[in-house]
Amino acid sequence: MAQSASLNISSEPQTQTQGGIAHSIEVIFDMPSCVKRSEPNPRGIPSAPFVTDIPQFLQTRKVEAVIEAINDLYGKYKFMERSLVARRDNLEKKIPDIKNTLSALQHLIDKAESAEPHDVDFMLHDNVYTQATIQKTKTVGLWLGANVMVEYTYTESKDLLERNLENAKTTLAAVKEDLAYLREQSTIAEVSIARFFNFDVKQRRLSKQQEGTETTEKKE
Amino acid sequence: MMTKGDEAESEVNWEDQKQICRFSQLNNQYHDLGDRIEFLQKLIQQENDSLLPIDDFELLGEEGESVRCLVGEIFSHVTVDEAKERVNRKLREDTAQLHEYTSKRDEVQREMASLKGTLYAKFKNTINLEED
Repeated sequence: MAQSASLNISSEPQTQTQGGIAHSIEVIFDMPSCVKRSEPNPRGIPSAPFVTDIPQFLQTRKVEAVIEAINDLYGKYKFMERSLVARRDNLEKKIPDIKNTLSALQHLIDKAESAEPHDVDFMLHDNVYTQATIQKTKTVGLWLGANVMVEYTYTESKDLLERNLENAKTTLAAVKEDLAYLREQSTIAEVSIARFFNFDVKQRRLSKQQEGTETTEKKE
Repeated sequence: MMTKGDEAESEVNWEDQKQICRFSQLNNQYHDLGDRIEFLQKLIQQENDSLLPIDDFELLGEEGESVRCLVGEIFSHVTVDEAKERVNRKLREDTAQLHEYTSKRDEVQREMASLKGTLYAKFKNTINLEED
């Protein structure tokens, strides 16, 4: 069924793209001889089709349907981009947080080595600070969230934090890679829309000129 | 969008498209690095500004009196030397990072300039690679 549907469509392009953008995009751009694509993305973001030979491509398709399909895809990219940007910003905030915690922990470790108790001021409430003396300690409480704090030794907590930092950095790198890929695909989609549009304008102008020369032949 | 004069415009091929994408990617990187550089410059300025008051304190304060240094969310009581050492260490790290970003941005800028040359040569006024 799907096979025969795709065969039909190549001779009569679908104008409605409802019911699966990915599907209609696949069907419309199913012409390997004149469609090029970027390398696939490791996390499965669909690539944008780049049509190398527009006149040949449009022999079996309607330009409106093609532009609409790319437009839909473009909208999808923009949507994905927004959610990825939010994730990226989140991670960009999280990483300095972890670094800060690590530096506080390192400070504690350094102080523990000197064997003397040391004084700190800590916040009781906004704008209210009080003093505390930290005796030589071996453990530290890490706030894990959900009202849970777990006591770790210095080495354990350092390991945990360093692992968290590493994970956050890896995820951030992946998100950035996806964003770059997504922007590349958006650019391809933008350029494609412009190319099809310009091609269409040119075609219309040509056919108008032809009509014009036929009717005004005598004047010229 | 298209005027009569542009009719001889060159058709965009796959290689051109890849170059346009590369340019757009570089442009994003350029702005991203710019933001980071600006942030670091402010931070370094702040760190430099905090060194002077520490010196003043060393001269004017009582011998052996401690200063408070922000560590995470708490203020730790540290000696003047330790405070200086902390600020200087941070300053060294941030300056190194700033240099890394600046040279990266120069690199990006160079590649952008060369791509601009290639793309403008082919597409002339039918392509716009300038900032809005």
